[in-house]
Amino acid sequence: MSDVLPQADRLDEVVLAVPGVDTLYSAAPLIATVITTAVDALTRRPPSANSVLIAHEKAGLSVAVKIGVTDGYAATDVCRRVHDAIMEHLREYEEQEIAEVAVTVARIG
Amino acid sequence: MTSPDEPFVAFDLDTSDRELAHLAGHTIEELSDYLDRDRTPADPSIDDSPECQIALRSLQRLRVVQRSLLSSDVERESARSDGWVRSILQNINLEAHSGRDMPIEHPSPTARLVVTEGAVRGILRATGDEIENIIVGRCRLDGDVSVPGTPITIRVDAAVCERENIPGKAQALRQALYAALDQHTDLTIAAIDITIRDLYLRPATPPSETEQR
Repeated sequence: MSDVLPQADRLDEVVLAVPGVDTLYSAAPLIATVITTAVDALTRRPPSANSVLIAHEKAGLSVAVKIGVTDGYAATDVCRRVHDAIMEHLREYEEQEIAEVAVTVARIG
Repeated sequence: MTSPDEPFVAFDLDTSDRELAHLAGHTIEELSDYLDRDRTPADPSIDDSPECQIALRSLQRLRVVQRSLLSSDVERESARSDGWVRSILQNINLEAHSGRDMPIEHPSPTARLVVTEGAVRGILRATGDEIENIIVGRCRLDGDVSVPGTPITIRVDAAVCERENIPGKAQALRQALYAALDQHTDLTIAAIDITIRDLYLRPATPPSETEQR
């Protein structure tokens, strides 16, 4: 089995490690909670408590996260850094094309 | 500028707007009760909702002002303060929901970065409330915020403490809002219109030691 899926699971930690991110909210179930459940089943682990949504689509991998930004940080900068951190992580562990990385700032301060 | 005939509060909302304004299924009264209980027992449906968190922080700031007002001439002011406090509560309820997505620029074609309207209104309200003797009543973003480069007009209603210089306070608020928008969004701001809709009593200052003797 590919090690891609378990590595993707660590995206929570990657996002929370970005300076200025203080909360990782559950991303809206637009991409697919179903996919996350499928990933859990594939990797034979308990249902995921991840807030990062990951979808494998024809065009490639799609990731969605929703964050809260710490007071004193610029939301735009933090949002871009989260995108870049996710991309860097996925490029390291993921062989699949990356179609989209969606980052939503849902709260500031 | 906003027409002086325009109502300060959002009483002109239709039913669907009110329904949309719900906070992760909670009402502003429920959030207020949650604060009263010091957030115990913990409710994940509130704690894990950014909309509820924005509303809770606004409520907390409003309570600080209310407490200071309570030490003022309560008899004289209570009826009036109840009115504008209630209107602010309604606006907190309305404005905390996520609303529209505002794009954040990034050179990567894979990036879809946005900040929600609720987050921006929350930071505008917080920025305004940090200015001494001014309380933000309503924040509105007029224009298509979802299209980068579209000129956006920010409309803010506020209440100012009596005997303050209103033009000075409005200018300070405008500058602070510009700075916050520049820091947290990629919006193209055409104007920030501020309307001072109400005055509230200056909080009572504790008597000095000399006066106490």
